[in-house]
Amino acid sequence: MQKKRQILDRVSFSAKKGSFVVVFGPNGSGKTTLFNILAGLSESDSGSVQIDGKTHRQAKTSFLFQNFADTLFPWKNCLDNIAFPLELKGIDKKKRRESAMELMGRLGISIPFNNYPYQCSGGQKQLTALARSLVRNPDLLLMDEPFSALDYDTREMMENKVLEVWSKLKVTTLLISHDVDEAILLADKILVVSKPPTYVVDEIEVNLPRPRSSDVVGTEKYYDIRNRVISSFLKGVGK
Amino acid sequence: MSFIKTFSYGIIGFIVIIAIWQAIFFLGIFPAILIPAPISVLQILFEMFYTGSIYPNLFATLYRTIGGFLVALVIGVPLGLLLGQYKLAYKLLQPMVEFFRAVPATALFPLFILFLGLNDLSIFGAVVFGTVFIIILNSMYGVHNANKARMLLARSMQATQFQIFSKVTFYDALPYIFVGVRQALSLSLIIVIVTEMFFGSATGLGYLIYHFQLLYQTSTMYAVIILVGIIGYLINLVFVHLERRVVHWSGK
Repeated sequence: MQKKRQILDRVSFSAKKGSFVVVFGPNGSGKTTLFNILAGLSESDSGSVQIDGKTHRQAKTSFLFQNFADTLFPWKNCLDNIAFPLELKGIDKKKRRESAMELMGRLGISIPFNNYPYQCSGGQKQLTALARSLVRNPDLLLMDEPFSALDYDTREMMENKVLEVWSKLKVTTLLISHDVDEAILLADKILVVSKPPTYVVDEIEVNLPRPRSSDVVGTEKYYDIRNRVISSFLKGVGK
Repeated sequence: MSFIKTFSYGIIGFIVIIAIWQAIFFLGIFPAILIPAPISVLQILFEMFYTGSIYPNLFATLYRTIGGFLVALVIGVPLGLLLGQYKLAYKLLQPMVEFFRAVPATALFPLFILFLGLNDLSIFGAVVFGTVFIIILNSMYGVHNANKARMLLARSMQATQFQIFSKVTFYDALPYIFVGVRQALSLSLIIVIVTEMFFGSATGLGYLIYHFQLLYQTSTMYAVIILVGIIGYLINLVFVHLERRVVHWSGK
């Protein structure tokens, strides 16, 4: 018998509709477990989730995993990968391809959509996976350290693309990050969580002007936020 | 271009073998009854097709090989997928599958004759028995090794269990299924030839090989052996081509 271990402890937070929230905390702090519960992949022992007035089972949630480009289906070309969530809903091939094309146009995503993932560059695969997560207009987009495995160039490109896409679609987004600068660059609000049993140590509003770029780094306001994130983080790990 | 290059290299290999064969014949290292001249063997092979005498036996062998293989395919793939998908089915059936896989199909041929009679049905039985377990096991491993992240992704999109299986797991398992099917197809030909040789069949290429050996018509025997080799090679070639088209992502 495996001993039961408490991972989350009265985690409670809210995110404004259309906002960008970054979850920041130590390794093994149950952030992925929290996301799994939000996505309906795991059940919590108690508590509830409300997404835009719906339960997490009723809401449309899209989940981008770590190394999410590897979750593309190699037997489908990029267009059919993007359209996959619509295929699950039983929408016919022509219509779902049209929707996928329309989305790519709207988001300004340019990829060789007839190519298979193995014929694409790393960046193109990332964009395909991102477009796939958005094609069914999700109520909530969850991203679990999506950029952790990327090189500097691709990471910067993807961060900017995610910001651009988010500002166009205004989809409520929750993203896990271990990088404080990335968190400040992306977020409207940063949730700093503790080590297990995990609770929310602090909710920090990031009221820096948008659109943001790496220029925000170095301003006084930026350092205030950064210091508060780090001191909350240290409090959460018991230091 | 690369195909022509590969093909040319392959041809060179065959030319070298025939040259060595010719040299052995020319030097008289073995009696001509054991190693006849390659040209006479090739001439007989050509005549077999020209006169059409080979066709009934060629078709009999192909019919048994492909027929038996198709039955094994129809049984093996669904059963393997089932064993891969359901833990209980796996626990119940896996030891039995491993056991029967270890029993040579030819060892059970006398049993097939008792039950099915001395006819094509017995040969089909041997082919199915000899190949179905390979297909089952590879299909099962395919499901076991299916990419977990892709399944989880489909689940996060509220896919049903059946959708996850039919739209994700099955495709992930397909390259493994093809490996099993390719092995099974090669083995089908081997089993058919062996059963035709030793179990009283009156048709088929295996029967011809044994028949001409008994008559000491070794040139004709060699011609049939070469034909069997060509068939095996062509079956494999067609299958590799099919595999590249269907599971184009495999290994990439």
